[in-house]
Amino acid sequence: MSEQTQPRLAVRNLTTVFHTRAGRFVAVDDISFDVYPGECLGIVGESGSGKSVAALSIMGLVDYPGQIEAGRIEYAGTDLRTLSENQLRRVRGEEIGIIFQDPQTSLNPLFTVGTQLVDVVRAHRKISKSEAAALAIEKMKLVGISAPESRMKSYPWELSGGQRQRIAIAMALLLGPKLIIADEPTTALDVSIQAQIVDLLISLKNELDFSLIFVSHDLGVIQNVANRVMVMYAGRMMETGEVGSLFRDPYHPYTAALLASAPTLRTNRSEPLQAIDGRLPSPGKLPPGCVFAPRCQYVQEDCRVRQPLLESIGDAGRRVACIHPLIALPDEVHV
Amino acid sequence: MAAEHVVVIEDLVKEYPVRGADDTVQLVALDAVNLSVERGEILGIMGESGCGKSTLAKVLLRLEPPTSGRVEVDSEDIARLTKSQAREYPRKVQMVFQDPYAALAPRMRVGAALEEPLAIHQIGDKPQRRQRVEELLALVGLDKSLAGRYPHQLSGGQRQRVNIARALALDPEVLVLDEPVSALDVSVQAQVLNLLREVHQRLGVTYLFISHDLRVVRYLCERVGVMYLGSIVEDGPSEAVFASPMHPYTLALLHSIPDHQAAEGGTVSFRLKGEVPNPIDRPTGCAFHPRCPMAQAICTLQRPPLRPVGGKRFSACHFAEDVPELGRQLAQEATVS
Repeated sequence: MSEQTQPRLAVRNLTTVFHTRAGRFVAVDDISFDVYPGECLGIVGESGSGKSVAALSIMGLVDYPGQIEAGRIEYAGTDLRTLSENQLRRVRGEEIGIIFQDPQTSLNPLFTVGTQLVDVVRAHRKISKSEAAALAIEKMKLVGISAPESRMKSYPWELSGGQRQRIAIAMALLLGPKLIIADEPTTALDVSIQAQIVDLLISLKNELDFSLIFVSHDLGVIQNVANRVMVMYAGRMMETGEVGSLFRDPYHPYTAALLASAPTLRTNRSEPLQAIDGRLPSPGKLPPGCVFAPRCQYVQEDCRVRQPLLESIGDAGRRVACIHPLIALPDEVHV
Repeated sequence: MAAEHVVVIEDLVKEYPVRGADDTVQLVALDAVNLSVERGEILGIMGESGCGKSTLAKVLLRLEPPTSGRVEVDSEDIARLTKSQAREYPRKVQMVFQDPYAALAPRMRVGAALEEPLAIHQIGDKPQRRQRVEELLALVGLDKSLAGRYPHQLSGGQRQRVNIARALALDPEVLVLDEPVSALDVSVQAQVLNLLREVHQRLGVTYLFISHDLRVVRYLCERVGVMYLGSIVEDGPSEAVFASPMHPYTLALLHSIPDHQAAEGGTVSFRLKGEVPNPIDRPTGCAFHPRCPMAQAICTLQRPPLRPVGGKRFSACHFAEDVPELGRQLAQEATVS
């Protein structure tokens, strides 16, 4: 990624809150990131980390009682937050496509696949039904649906989970968007199908040159698919950087702990897993200072008082929100 | 030596009738399963959705009667228990479910939930049962003050600990765990896996650990059975099976896992085509042949039996002996590319 390229999407100081009877919950707390043409940005985190809300905020898809409270979401130079609902509807689908975790919820069970795909095209373009159908069939071929003509007549429930997710991807691609947001697109699928869908998304991205935001809780999937990754915890960005270097040398204790706690095919079976003690803070009661401090094994006194800012450290593009990152800095002596 | 086996399953078949457009057909959820579980071992059962792993759990718990075949627990055929034996059966085999939220009654305090199985089986008097509840909470690493809480006041990880404690209340011989960590976040999953290991070391209870997650199975289980479309296709010690599978399905599964510790640049080159067939339309011969990269003519005709392939290992593949070589080639390709 050359530094000169303009980002396709630039998110600045995004803050999304939920107003509930129990109070005001900050789901996404002041995060900023860029997505460049042709790259895949992975957003990884556990449940409640705000990763999905961050992704949905981009599309303006956060429903009541959620609300984007602050920030800019610049797509191709326009702040999407200044657009009217009608203008935003144009952007969704034509510029930005979305794929959800469960294709069962993004496809209507009462209509055939063909009807739904044609409707999407005709909502955006003034073309005939047969032209729209031809476009739908073309995209279905692209995502590896065999016999797409006859599949057009199928209802979503007649398809397997993997096929449904392929249809959902075809739907997201219909109008040739330049950015695809995929929210846990493989989580509901079996391992062998999950691998097929990941392969498909990577090859489509390379072929069609769209940018991809891939949200997942699965570190392995993120490593396979993403170029850059941001790690979220309790609504905040903990660390971001190139996938390879970040997974090899995590500087944030949370990233390191997350990587160490998930068993892999190389984990030593005779030792206990390095679990992270405690649990995610409840969103209404965030600790002062660093949100990870109560569970951090490297915690020091100042961590509980001062909220760390995301700062550039080490290799290119790496930013870490930690007062005592896991890297020996020349100007700091670790105890 | 036979007494060493706490569970012996022979040719177990479970069919469910499915009403079709014209007539009723049989969905074969378990298709001649053969499996023995040694006392005190941790046996992992892994497979994708629809492979029959949860049906196997249901039959073992006597929630579903087998269509044919035999299941013996402690040398007794569980389909032919007397009434009193059937009443006592829950003291032998217990279960931990996937969803820690759904498995606990929302209006029952933790202490009451743990005491209930003891009361039903008339174990001890009230103070003794209270004592036992405290022991159980301590066993799963929960503070005894949690006995007064309701499930909604607990986190997912704490709830799953309560479920494990309740399953252990009657001191069962066998604990069937159906995807017990799948609903948990990575950091909490590690806590529960460590707990399961500690409990096993302390109590020596036999685990049947059902999971779709190969990484978790490899970590926790000493032995693993791989299921595909209602049958066991490979069975053997975890170390050996994961290091060098002897069924092409196991090999393909291993190559499908996204692994964040995979060698960098090592691309995955071995993918299963298509999807698991509908169990109503079981392919002829080897059920795996339509998706198998090694399939030959014989595979479409003859169903391979689960046969010993050396070193306590079993494989249901006509060409089991050729699979390790394919695995080596794939590993080499991955390091070259």
